[in-house]
Amino acid sequence: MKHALALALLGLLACDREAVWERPLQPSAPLALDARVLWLAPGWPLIAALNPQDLSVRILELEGLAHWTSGGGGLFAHPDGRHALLVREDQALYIDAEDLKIERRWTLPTPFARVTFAPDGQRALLHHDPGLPSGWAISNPNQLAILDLSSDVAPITRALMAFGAEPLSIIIDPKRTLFARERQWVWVFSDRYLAFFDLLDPEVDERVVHLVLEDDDREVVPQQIATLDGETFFVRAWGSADIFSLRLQPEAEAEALPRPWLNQLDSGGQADDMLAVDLSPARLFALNASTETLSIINPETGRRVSVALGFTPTRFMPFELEGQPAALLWAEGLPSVAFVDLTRVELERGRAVKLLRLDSGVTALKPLPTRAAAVAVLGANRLAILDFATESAVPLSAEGPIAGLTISEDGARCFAVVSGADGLSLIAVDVATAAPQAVPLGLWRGVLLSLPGADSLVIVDSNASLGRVKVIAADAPLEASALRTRGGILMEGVLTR
Amino acid sequence: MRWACLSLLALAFGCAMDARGGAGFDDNAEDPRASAQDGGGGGQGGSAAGPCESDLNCGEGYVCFRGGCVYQGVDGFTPGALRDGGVNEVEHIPTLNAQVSAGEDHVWVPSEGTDTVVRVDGARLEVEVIHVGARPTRALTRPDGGLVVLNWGSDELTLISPEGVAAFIPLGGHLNALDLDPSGRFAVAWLDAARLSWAEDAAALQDALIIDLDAQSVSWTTIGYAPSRLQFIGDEAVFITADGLSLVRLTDPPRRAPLVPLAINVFHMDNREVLLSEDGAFAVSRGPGEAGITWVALPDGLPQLVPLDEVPSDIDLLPDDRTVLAMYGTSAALIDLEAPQSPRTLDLEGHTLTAAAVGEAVAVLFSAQQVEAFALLDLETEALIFQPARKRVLGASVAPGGQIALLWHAPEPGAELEAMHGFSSLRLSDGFTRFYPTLTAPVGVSFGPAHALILIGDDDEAPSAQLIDLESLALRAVPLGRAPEAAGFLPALHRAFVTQRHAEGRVSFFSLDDDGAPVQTVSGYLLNGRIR
Repeated sequence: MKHALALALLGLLACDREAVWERPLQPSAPLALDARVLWLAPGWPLIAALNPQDLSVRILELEGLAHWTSGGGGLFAHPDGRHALLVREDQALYIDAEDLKIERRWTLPTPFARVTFAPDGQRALLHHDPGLPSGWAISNPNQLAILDLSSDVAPITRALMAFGAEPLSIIIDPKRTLFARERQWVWVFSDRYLAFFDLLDPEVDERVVHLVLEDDDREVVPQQIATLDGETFFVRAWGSADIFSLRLQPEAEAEALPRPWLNQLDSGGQADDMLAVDLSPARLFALNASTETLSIINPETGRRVSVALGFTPTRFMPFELEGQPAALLWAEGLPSVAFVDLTRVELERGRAVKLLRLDSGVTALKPLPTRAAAVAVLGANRLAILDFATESAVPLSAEGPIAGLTISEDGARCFAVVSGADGLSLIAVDVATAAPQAVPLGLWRGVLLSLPGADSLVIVDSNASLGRVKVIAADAPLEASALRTRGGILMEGVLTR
Repeated sequence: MRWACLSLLALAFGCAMDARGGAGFDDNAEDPRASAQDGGGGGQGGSAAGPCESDLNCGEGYVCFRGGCVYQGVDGFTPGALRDGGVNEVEHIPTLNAQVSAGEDHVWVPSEGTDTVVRVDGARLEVEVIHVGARPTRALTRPDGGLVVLNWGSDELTLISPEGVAAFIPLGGHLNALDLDPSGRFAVAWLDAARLSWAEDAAALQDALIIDLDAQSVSWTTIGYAPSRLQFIGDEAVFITADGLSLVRLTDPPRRAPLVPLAINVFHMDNREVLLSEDGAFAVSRGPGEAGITWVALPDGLPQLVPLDEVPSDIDLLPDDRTVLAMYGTSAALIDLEAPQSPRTLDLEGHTLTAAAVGEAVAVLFSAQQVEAFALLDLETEALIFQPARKRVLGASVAPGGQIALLWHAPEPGAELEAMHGFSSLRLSDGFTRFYPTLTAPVGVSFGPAHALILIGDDDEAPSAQLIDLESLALRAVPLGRAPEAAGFLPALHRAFVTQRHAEGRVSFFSLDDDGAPVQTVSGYLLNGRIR
């Protein structure tokens, strides 16, 4: 009612801007930063930022950008949790979400659809969406743009050497000092090969590592890369029963990129996931669902120890337990989860693996910090607290589908939203006692976001096109009075725009 | 000095054989079957080959044909009507086919698919990829640590220096086999008919190419038909061909001798088991249906048949280089080539033993047909003892030093142990055996100074290398990630290596001394050649 009135008023006051209101808002999915939730409304275009602590909303009108209703680009969360990068056609905007202002703006030589940030956030790499048209008449999918986010200098563009394929994924390594020189590797994965170059020296030619021989028609697609020392990198690839080890070796010319020396480590079959852990010495762990084994590989010698698991996990969920590396082994839809003490498993093999059999498939899994336990969503409607110390699983039934499983920072409670016949509920479970609590949120359909910088949980109602949330402090007792509501987020300040 | 010794030997055989340094070798003869050179007088027949006006000018077994003596065989041979034990040895010994070569501390692996040779450092596991010609199929290590590579696809040789620098020598014809003389100076390329593939150029079937690697010069020479084996004796390359023996002296240019007939019947020259004495003084052979063995003095003797009661199924030369052990079923014979007409028969006491392998002082006699028995023959006293075998013996390999033999067993119908493959190590001095059952048949064996390395299994059947200490007979199983292809030893490092079946190459190294030292594996090294 209040919104309708506002719109009517606006129509009277700003009839010359009528065209804006005729355009749909088309808000994006909310983007959770550390302490803000952002919405991008490309139809107008604007960005709205919610501060969950005081429920204040600020609007950033994207001047200089034409509205858009389709095509690539979007809003990408910066690793510092404070900034976001908006990429749209020939523009890239670096936005401070807390002050909600455009810090920098660059003109791009060609549109890009994807952004990969350096882990330190100093640079961003803009690239194309694999397999999707760029929206322009023609584009080179192997072309990249590098933005220095601390500088207004125009982006550096470069085209990678290509062998009939396009980049499928890009990973940027942290900065490292290697052979007396600071480096930051960009790894570009393509079908049958990978390339890497130095983000800090992007003009130097990349290195290309083929993963198959010329006359080998296998599809070998790199999937994952890991390193422990920054000198040797491990690459897992689909289509290969080996993990590729690339040990960088200095070249005589200081300017040239180090030359990798390739070795292949037998992973006992197609590896579905890989984990590199420094156990002094280093070890690689590989999950082989097809053989139901966990392989522990000594990357120095290639020696492999195989541990029979008796089920087919495809994913590691690594975490630390009292400072020691551990991992959960699981697969989406699989009714089993195993806990593995990574420090013991090579010697003790199956004795270091604790398997919990469940009565339905796991759809989400979160480890609990500080102990060998986890919370799992089973199927759609069940939650289970898994305790690997006692090898017990405490099930909890919900009245509808569970989404947005979140663990509190201290690991004492888990949160989720449940969609029931009477609408959405926010639930919390004390993982020590398995005591559940729930508060109804009304006829909402939404997602649960956790904003650690604001110590808040935010439930976003995706039914509300103008933006509506409920917010609760992460450490507050779960009761209706602790929930605060904010609606009309995208309309904030509309009368003054 | 050597030639003087050989002359003495020739006299000892009652031959009028000239010193080998002189007669016989001719670098002008075009037709090896009819030499115009003066012969040295072979065997007991006088002049074997040479110019002639009539048969009277030729030695026994030769006919004067258009001015030249041509071998036609010796009268008196009656084809054996008895059981034919088969020309090829009945024994089965696992043999490695992979073309891998080892230096003192590194392994060379030719890669046909990538036209490269990879050198893997056995200590640091560093890999160097060296581009060679098309389809390198054979690689041989030179004494200086370098490598010589035969490129099957581009008909050229690649010489790789110890520093890794490649030089190329075009061959001018298609050849598929390569051997290196012990000095490492000469490489000999030839066409092995047994390795010919469909539509492969076989024009050089009777040619050999002698390559002086120091001078990087090549010389073609003509040899007998369809050579099957090459053996170096002194500075000579001896080809075993379907026409007899072709002897080529490794000089620059090379010199060759007239063909040496191996059989008394000119139509029985092919398909023979041939042994050459280590000093090159003679060749011994057996052929299908021949109830006896044939020996011939080299380089220009006349074949002599030593009749036996039955057709031998295996012959071996004893360490004295003068006695031949012939196996023919229920008995065996020792033929002293200095008194060949008086073979000594060994009674096998009702056992049927058809093959033998010879150690330093003891020979092991066995049969692939008869289950669970073998015999040991004391070569000095000729005493025989009989032993039960754990399983049927398919073949035997004697380790260097001649003290230990490995017996290769066959699976038998039955359950568990009966159905398994396996091998035994056999101490020849006392007959002590240690049996090692295996899930699959051993695919190869490699001997080092103090160890044997037996390769077992394929990708799906727990591939491993079994390392046997030849002193204690202790066995260490080394698990491998892939099916083994080839193995060898790196003496400078006291390590062994095993290359494995892998599209991009794979080799594992392990210590010979330290059981606890980890196995180190390098894999995918062929891909290193594709890194840009």
